[in-house]
Amino acid sequence: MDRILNGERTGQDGHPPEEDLFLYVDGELPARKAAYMRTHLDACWSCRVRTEKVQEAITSFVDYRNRVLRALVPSPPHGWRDFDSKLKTVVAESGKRSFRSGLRELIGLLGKPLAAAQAFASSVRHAHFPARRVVRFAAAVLTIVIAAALVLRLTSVPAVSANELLDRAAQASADQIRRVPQAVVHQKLRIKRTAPKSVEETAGLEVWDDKSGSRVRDFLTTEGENIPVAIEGMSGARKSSVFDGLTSALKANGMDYHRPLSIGAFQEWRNSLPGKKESVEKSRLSSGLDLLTLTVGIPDAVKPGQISEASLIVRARDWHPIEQRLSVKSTEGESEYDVVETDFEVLSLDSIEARVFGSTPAATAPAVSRSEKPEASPSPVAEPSASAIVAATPDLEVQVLSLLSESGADLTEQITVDVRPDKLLEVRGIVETDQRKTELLNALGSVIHNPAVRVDIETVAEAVAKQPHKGAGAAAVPDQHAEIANNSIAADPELRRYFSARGIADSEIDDAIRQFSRNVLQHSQLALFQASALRRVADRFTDAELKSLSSDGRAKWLAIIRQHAAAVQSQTAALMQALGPVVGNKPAAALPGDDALAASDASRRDAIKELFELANGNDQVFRSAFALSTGSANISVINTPQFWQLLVRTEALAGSIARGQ
Amino acid sequence: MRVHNVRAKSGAGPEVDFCLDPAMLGLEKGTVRLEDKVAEIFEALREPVYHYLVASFRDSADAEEITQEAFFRLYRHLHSGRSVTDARPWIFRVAHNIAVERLTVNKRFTTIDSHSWEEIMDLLSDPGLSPEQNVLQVERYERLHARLGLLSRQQQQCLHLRAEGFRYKEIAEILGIEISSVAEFLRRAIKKLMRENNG
Repeated sequence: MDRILNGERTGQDGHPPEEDLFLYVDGELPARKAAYMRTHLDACWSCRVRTEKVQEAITSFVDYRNRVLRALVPSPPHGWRDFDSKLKTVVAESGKRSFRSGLRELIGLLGKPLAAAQAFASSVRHAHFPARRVVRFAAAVLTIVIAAALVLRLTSVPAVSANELLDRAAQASADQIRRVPQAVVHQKLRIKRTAPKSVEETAGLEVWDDKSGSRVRDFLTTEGENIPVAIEGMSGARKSSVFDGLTSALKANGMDYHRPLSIGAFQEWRNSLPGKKESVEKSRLSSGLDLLTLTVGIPDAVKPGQISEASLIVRARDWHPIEQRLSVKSTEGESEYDVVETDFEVLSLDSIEARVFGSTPAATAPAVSRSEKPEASPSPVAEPSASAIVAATPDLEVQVLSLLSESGADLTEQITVDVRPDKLLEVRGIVETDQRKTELLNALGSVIHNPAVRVDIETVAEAVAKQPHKGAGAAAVPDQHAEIANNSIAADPELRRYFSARGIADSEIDDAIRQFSRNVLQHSQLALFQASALRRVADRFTDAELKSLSSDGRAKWLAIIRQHAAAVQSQTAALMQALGPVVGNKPAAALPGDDALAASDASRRDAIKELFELANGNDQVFRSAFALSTGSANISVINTPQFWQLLVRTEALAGSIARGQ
Repeated sequence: MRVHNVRAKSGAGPEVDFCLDPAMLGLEKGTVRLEDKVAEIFEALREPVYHYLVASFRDSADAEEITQEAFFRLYRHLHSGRSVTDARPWIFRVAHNIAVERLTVNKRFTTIDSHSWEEIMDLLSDPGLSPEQNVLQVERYERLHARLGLLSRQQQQCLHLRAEGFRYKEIAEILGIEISSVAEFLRRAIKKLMRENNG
């Protein structure tokens, strides 16, 4: 056999080893070996075929990577939009000199004066004794002064802009939260109010902010104690008036009153102001802690309830916000609110007592009422009651349904939207992945802070983690499986004839039948899901509730209906398009629309009910024809005129509903 | 230290100079702002780095943040007076190392739900192929996807970096492994893919 490699290592039978072949194909073989390889391949078919197969595998992967994998990779969640601002911060930080470079500079600066001082000292050595002492003392003082200046220069806090301060604080907060799975931010706040013609008052507040579940619970605490207590029955309304006043001020100015000290809320509020004056000041506490204070002034704030000035104070070392001050206009002047953080931690949801976020009624839960006289106007901080401030309206319900529908969450996922007995709208559900959970929470972004809405979406993993572990002696679930009675589907003969007539090779017909069947079943299932979602939306509201919708709410409700109906129409049309050639039917012209649909909500509801029954029936037929069954195979009915008419009716009815006003 | 000019086309944009010697860039003369240069390289490399991180570590939220962090570190590196011969492998190496520090390593290729596959396959349907050929191509992609999911993490990383155009030496530097290990990972990965092609 050819020993063309001339003493180079060879594989079996004189052919090059597989490793060298791979390296050659990949252009990584050293030049000398590559030359020998080329000569061998010129003469050896089998090795040439081996290299071609390697190349084919590489080509397949690259094709797959470029076409499929790229499509699978989600876009960056933030669209790179904060890169420029963060880079500016990095640039600003990098402008600060390092200790070493500053020291070098100082030594350089000191060089000449030190040399001069040395020369002077040398001349003084020969001078009179008392003069020597004075000079030495002066030199010592000078050295101390210079050293102090160096320390001050190198340790001073750099100036930052308002944008940089907020961006850095937001980033630091996000980093903290990201490090903890299912993070819950727990803050203890002390709120102080100084109002004209009134004594200074304080209140304590505990905030539990579930970042992953997008929910917040607030608890008032008594002065001096950090345990949540019910204050119903306490005399006097003053203990809660501080918090009530702060809440009103935050609400009136579009700030998040559930999170009185939050970088995100402050940033959002500040960014929304058209005309403002800002400054950032540095300061240092007696303890040595460096602080940065961002003050935002609104010169045009004149109405009572408006914030005229707000300050956010962060720690310079880690950008953590520790205090917020608000000046709020009132009829008698200005009230000052000072919210100071006394404690802060980021915990995992698992480590928190269930009662914190539990939905038990205010009477039994440790949630706290804002008023000591429940008969006056009970308004628990954690769970506002139906008779108090907020209640979900049909318009709000439609808005939430619309947002979920746009995200496709009303089809196959376990997401429910219910109005609770306390009139709050609750969105609950379990999704497959963290990414999907984030998508849904983002989709609900415009309503998630609505006090009438409660959102509780978790992943399967989170839900499973909450379940109690089963003991070792728990009985195993018996393994159940169904035996497939047939290896072929009922529509097999028709499909086999169809593909054979199209010239598909016998070896590929089985694959073609499987793929065709899978497509049909998917279209049918999607049509059924859409019809089912349509029916749920239609049946959700009574006629009276529909009449109570605003014009905007009604438009949204109709949009959801039309969207689902159009989807049913589209999926049914796709089914007819695919099946027509197989069963010998051409898609028929659409039946005339049902004009009566536009007449009333009741007639629309009836039509939707009929559409659902049609889609359901169609799906059962498709399953009997295209799915492997556990019983004896049913004779396919897909090519009967009666079934075809049902498909035509389904498509026409869906189209009418989609067009209805 | 002599540095060679490294120019590369990335994507559809203009050629970008990935050689980052401050002297050559004209930084000392003040003709080029360092942050502008870093921003230019960011525009050129952010997508490949991001895709590599998502493909290797399966976390798009962190991948965006890590990608940006790698460029911030590039800025600080250059600002301290140091140079970078070729920014491409440098950025990939830094991004890879940050990801290893921060991300969990338990995620592999996940299965795609049928709804997502359907959408993707609809997008990729080739009008030049017959419906049956499209069907067969889809099935090939599905099998390839499944087979890639069986590769080890390092095999996948080597594949992606090689597909990105890095040589074995550069891949070894990025991943912090020996060149011979890179060759072995790639050989085994491609052999597994060959099995898919050959049925």
